[in-house]
Amino acid sequence: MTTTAIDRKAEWRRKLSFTNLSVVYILIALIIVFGIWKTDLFLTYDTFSGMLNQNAIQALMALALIMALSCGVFDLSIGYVMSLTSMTTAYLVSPQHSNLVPVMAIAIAIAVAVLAGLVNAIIVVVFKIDSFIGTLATGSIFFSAAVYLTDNVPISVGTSTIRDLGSWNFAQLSAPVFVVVVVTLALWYLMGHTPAGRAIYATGLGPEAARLAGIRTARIRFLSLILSATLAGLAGILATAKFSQGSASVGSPYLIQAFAAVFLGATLFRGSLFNAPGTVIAVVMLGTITVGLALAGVVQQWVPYAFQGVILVAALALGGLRRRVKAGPETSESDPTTDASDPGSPVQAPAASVLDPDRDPAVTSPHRPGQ
Amino acid sequence: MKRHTRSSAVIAALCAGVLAFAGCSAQAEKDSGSSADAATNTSGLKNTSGEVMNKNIEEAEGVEGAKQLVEMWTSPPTSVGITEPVKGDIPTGKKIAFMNCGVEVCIGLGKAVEEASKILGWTVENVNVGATPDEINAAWNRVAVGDYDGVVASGLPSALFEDALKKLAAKKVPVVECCVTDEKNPAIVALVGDSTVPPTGKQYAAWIAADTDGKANTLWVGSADFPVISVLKKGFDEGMEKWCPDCKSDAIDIPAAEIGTTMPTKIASYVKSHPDVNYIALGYDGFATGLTQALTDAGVADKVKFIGDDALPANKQAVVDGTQAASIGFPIYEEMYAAVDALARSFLGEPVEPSLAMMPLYIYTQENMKDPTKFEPLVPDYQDQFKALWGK
Repeated sequence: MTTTAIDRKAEWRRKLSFTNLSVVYILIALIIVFGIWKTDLFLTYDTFSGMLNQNAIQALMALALIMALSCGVFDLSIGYVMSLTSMTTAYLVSPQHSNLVPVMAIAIAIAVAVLAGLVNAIIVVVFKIDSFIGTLATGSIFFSAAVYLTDNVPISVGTSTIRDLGSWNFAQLSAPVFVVVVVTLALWYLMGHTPAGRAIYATGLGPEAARLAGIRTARIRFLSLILSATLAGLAGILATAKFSQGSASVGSPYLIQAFAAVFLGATLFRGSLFNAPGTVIAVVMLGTITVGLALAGVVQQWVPYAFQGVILVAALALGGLRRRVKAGPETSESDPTTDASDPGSPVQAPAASVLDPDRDPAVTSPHRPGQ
Repeated sequence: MKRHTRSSAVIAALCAGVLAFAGCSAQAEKDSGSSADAATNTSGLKNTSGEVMNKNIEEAEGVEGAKQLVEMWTSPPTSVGITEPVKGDIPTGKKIAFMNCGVEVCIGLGKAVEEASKILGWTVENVNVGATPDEINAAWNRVAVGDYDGVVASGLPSALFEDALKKLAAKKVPVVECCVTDEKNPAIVALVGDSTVPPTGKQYAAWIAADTDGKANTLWVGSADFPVISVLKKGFDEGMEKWCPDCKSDAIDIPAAEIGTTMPTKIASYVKSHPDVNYIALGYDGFATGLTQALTDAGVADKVKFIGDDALPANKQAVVDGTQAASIGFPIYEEMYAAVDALARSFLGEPVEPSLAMMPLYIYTQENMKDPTKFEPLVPDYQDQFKALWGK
């Protein structure tokens, strides 16, 4: 066997390894288990499409985090931005308030989201306030703005004008699902197949090294916060259409699950780098647990949480365990440039490997973008 | 927010309103719960309150009985329930604190308290109690050291602010609560709306029995986060046993944190996996967030209907749109007028029991909906009834 053939085989082995595809394997296992358990109910197109429809907004919220997290910035305000645009949209279409046509209302709501992102960017990048605290603070301000609009009273009157945005479907897949597909493809291409994507990862992996390499890290972080707010804003608009209601409390419940999906998704495909396809698959996996257990008639409240917790730990730990074993004794767990198993700091690849697309990821690093 | 229990004090206030409406004696209202203005319907039952209402519920048998009750409950209630006027002259110039939890229902309650207080020449200060136990405790302690003459609160268990209640009791500042269950703190002078919860649970049963012609297979959706729902469930079970003996029902409990996220998926999946289910009873209207879409996604929207409680504006709109079968009304105005009634009696040293009467009961349907955009008083002349009770 030639060296090339061996390399190719090793590459495929790596690509199909549990380390690289842990969540996919667990998802397949879940489908098999629930498929056997409730064959007639679970293995249907209705269940498949319904599960995608029900998790589309959650997926969009998770996708909103990817770029910001990839360049080392937390955005904890996305839930509140979602709430703000939800209320803004409903307020604008409501005949009791502004009575605008839906297109205009949506455009203004998106503008509000962009503005929120701009505020975040100025706070974090220009004023150099830690993003964790900074976006927590701005999130409170966005929430207060959402509450201010109608004194925290949800708005339902007039939202029927945008209901089609939430209920329109093709092949039983609703509009938000297609939005998620488009955003996923866009992020996948941007972050995995362009120099800009490599610059984003490099900014997160080693901002100083990236800056010295000529990457405009401040600009990238600035734009990433605007993007995250914009996508969260889009989620808020879609939620308003779906629920036929604008509400200041609509966004917060999505935040934790969004982070869980993004970190879980980072174990997929790109060796601890945040990525869009992995994130969406993680959302699907978490949604599968909810739907599967409900269809199976498991009504005890604690079961889904326990099940989900165990699955999360399994996906993260097994992936990380395999990676450690693979890294061997030469890998120091305390060395952030080589340890890819720490889910708390998932963008761990050396900046050099990110910036050099010609380096062999199987040999030098499992974290090369574009894989 | 879900009302945690409709406290008894509200009920008393409702009784007072009845007397005022009749314009003569309390006894007249007590007997019938209504005056000659009582709404009529094909069932011949009057949607009143108190003894008459309990008798109507008690005497209804089988599906036909349930249908008669539904006829009654879908016609406007005529009585606020309170029948005994306040005896003394209610003092003016009182300063009341309303402990506002900030969510939709609490905001509605706050507005009703303000409206009622204004009639008596009182001022109301809305106190934002926050959401965490610490915030709630701090807000109550601020009120305890403030210069308030009375306090109205909703939906907050007193264990969170027991120290503040002791301070208020020491200052002889009366506290009236609504919307909590099983509250026995002696520092709280009245719990309004408490006795209305079980019959509200029976409203679900009557509606479902009538709408399915006694062929219901119901999924009850509750949440332990809202203790009042368990009381509603008890009333529902009793009603189903009485009016729909051949019907089946099952129950699931879902954390409130899942409202609008995974809750609709869980409900829809349950219905899908139990094809015989043809009705969903939501312990709280807020559980309907995203439910219609989830049922549609699961391909079961056409085979199941749902009803909820509290008539939130979004749900009222859903009833108008035909996506929700019905919504049980929450007597926000009547309940808060009853709370003010209890305070008035307390200031005068009179017993507050009259304020604890049963609240009016109502079911919103597509046919009887007036304004789906907001909470509305259930009794059209509720203000006149209370004014008469208060000598205004």
